[in-house]
Amino acid sequence: MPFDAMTEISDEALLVAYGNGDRAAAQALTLRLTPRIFGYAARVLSDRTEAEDVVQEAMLRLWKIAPDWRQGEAQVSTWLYRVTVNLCTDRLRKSGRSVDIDAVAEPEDGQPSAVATMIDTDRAKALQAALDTLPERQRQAVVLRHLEGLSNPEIAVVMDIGVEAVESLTARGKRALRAALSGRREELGYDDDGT
Amino acid sequence: MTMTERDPLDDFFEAGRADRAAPDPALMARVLADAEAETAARATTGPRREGRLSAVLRGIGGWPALAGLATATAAGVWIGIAVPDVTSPFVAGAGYDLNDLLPGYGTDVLVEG
Repeated sequence: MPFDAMTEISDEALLVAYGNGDRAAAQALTLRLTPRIFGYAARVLSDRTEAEDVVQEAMLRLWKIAPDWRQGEAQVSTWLYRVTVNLCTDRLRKSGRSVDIDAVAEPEDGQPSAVATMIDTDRAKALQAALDTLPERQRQAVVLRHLEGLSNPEIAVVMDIGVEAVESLTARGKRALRAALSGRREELGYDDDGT
Repeated sequence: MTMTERDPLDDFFEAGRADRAAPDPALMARVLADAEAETAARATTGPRREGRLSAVLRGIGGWPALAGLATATAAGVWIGIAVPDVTSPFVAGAGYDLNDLLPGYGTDVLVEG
């Protein structure tokens, strides 16, 4: 099958084709899925090398499950995000960079944060620095929702929690981010009135 | 002031989405190489597992022969059980003796000889 004819084919159909030995399907899946989970892993781990390791491992698990994939039971992208989230969680916990969600007090508006000490004024980097201060689960939920564009029900499946828990995590995460970034808006070129 | 209040975080999220990290071509190549290796591994382990069974089947003539063999075995067992009842009237039934079936080799010959 020509590679350029695969853009309209679903992830699942490509995975089944790969499981049957179709090399072009593997190429299409690699190009389609690797950037997605790499963007997530790099954001959550804040480390390109570690993100690369996680992505390679997650994709390897996808290749291995391909022959046994049960069609119609799960979305390939959701399954892959779930594997990636778990691998990232393991990395964060092993490296000791994970923040215990219960040990972190809710930040108050205007409270000085790690972001305030940053020299770089790039907005994306300010966001990344603020994300790095969040507890692991809040960070994952916020990244999946607001940077990866997943819906709350999808995130619930990926993180193996209820939709209400997702809403709680993202709300608390955003509140913490808002507090961390509130003092940076003018510095980064944003007006306080939102225009 | 805008009419609808915009979440200040949205500006940061927008900047974050635009600044998405992209994988290096080397990573893409490694991922694809893993896919190829996995395909190759399946190709070598799959047929070997089936090969042993198919070799045995080939030796006896395939699945139809296996079915025929099973049928013959079952028939043999059944005949082995059923034969004594069927043949007993001819071997030891009332009114028949060896002289009736083979007169020239009867017990009279043996006594005279």
